[in-house]
Amino acid sequence: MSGSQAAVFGMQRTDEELVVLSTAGDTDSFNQLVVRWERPIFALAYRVLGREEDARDVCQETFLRAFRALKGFKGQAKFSSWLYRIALNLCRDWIRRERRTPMVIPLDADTEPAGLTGPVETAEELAVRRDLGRVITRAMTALSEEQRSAIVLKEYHGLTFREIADLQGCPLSTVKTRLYQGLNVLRRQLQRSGVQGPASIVGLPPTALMARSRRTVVDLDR
Amino acid sequence: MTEKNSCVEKDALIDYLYGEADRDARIRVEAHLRGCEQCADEVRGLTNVRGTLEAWAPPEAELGFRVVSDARPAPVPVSLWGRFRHPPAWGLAAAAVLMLAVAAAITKPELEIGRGEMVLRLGWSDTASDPATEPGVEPASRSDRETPANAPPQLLQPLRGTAVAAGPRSRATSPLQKEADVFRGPGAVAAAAADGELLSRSARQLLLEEELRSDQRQADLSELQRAIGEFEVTGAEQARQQLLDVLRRVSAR
Repeated sequence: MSGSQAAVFGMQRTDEELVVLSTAGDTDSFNQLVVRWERPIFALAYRVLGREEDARDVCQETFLRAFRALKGFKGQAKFSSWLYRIALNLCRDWIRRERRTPMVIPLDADTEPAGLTGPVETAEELAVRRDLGRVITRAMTALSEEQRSAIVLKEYHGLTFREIADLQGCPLSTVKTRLYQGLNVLRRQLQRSGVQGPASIVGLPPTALMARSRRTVVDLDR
Repeated sequence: MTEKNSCVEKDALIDYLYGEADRDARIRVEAHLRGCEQCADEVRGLTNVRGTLEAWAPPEAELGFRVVSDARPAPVPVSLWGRFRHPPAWGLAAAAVLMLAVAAAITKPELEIGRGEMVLRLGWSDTASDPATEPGVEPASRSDRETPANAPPQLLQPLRGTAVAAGPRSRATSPLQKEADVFRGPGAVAAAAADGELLSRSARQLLLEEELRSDQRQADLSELQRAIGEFEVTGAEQARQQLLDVLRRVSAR
């Protein structure tokens, strides 16, 4: 049974099953993997690179490379970790090749941030969040690429310290140092921009925001 | 990069911040935070940063990348169902041969050749003389048995009708016998007639017994026969008469 037929019958195949089918030449199965992972990979690239166009290019290139290298994937890691590794390498290459500062702040007011899973926001809250997004994007430019990647993988993709260490090819304590230093840099940058904390932004207690944040992470970490 | 000194080791602090410290480590950090305002302030600040980061969402980009197969088409798996929907000619032929073989096994044909005549006798022709196993009659009596005794009469009527309708058919030769007739040689007609005579006598006898056992059934049978006869003889005439009446009424207006 091909991947598309499995989808019709409501069967949810695991990543690993879809990889096996894809390796046997079933492109439908591979496209199911694309559908499943394109949003997280795009989000990762966007937060590391800071530009939508570049993030889309990196995302597309990630799946193209994954498709070509699929036969070399022996299941030694989770498929998602393997994808993350490809995407992060592409991001790093892109930053080095372009030799320009990533994180160009999007001034386009039409760029709508993706909706959250929480309650419906008022227009005012949305505007505040959009402004806050720009502030965070600017603050992120002060981080090294390693710090930024570590924070993005931890905060938005829910990876464990060990998984991040494997992806970055460094010891566990280095990951924690990068997180610690990165969060402190962000703290100073945000304070400089007049952002004291989430409570001062949308009128919600920090714990409520953190709860929503964790739920988003769980959604991404399938 | 300047780094703020923390009394708590940064690894332990990060573990605590992300809720991944074990119980003992968590108790140690919390005990320290209660007595150290500097560390407590740092934890509050970093917690706020994490909360602020939640507002940073990627744009709603149109993605939709899909891999399409290259010029060389991938092998398309054909399901068993797909194969059987369009059976090949040789498959049909094989099925036909199999059918004949099964039919032959069931009917136990006997071929007699002698004195310029050839008789093909099927197994069912032999047993047909036994009324209890005659295929046409058997359903009639069974259908009667299966009729619930306490069922209302209006429900019983159609069931009986069915049973009776099967009766006359049972007197005729069964389809298998008919097929056997095709293979009969010309000299065997007399023998076949004798067989047929015996068969129809048995069937009639069985019907008679059935009818005697049930007066209602007898009445049904005669009523049905009368109705059929009436329809056959006068049905067309009546219909024509009714049509003419209608035409006459229409033209008179």
